[in-house]
Amino acid sequence: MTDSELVRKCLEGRTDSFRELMDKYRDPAMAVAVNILANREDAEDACQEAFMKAYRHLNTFDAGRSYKNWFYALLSNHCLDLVRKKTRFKGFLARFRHEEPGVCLAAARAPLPGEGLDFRYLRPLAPKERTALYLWAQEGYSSGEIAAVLGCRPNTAAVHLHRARTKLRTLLKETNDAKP
Amino acid sequence: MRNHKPDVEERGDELATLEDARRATIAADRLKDVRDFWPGFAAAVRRERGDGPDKTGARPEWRWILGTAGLLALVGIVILVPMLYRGEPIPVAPVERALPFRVDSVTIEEKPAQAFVFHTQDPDITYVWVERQL
Repeated sequence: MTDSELVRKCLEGRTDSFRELMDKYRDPAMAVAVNILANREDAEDACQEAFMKAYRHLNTFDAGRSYKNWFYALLSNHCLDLVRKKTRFKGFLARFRHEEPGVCLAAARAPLPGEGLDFRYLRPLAPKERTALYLWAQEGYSSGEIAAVLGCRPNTAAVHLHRARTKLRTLLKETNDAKP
Repeated sequence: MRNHKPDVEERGDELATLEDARRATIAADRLKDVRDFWPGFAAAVRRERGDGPDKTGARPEWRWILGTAGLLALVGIVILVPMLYRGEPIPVAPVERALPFRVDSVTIEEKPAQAFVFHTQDPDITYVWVERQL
């Protein structure tokens, strides 16, 4: 059964059809969220909320388009929103601590044993750069498709990707981890 | 030029390659034991529809009945109690001298703990609260 058919059944009131969509996109959604948020726990919460959001807004889905891209756009927006909120909160806290707000661009650090996923090359990138890099590297998306997910122009998406690749190359050089 | 750059093949070693990017990002198959989002989703949908127990365990129709009954009871207490005791002081049981009661020492898990003794107006009831010393 296609995604559009499953969506149609959901809209007819068959909530179970949404489970099929959820099962199909659970792992890819987690991968998108983990790469944007660079934190597994936050990514799980974000996915839970994004699935709920998707279900509530299924009536806005255009059956002629890709459900995957529609869901990715919704999920990445949600994740980017979380990052913005977190950054604002950090800035608020920094006022009291007399620290500089903003994302820490500290040197890449290898994960400690048992830490699990390796975020050392993702964290120094901006959230939109991470999104573009992930979609390009793991999903094979073009600049146009990345733009559709990020809700921007293809040229802007290409700039995000370019910056991500430049920063990544620099990081890899610094850690002597680049493949020649 | 910058917009065009990512699409150009010959760009030296300035940009990370696809292989580099794949190693730096986290693929879906590297995520183990991803949480099943269905139970949380299904519970939220049930709550939104109002066809299941909420956090208090009460069904929607019972929530209204319990809420109304609680409100009526509160109104009754607020109106009736002053009427019943109008002009008459609310009788207070005389405090009887509690029987001498003392806690000499108390331990929790073989460590000295602190004891507090509360004598109530009822001479037959004395509360003893024991807590770990911080």
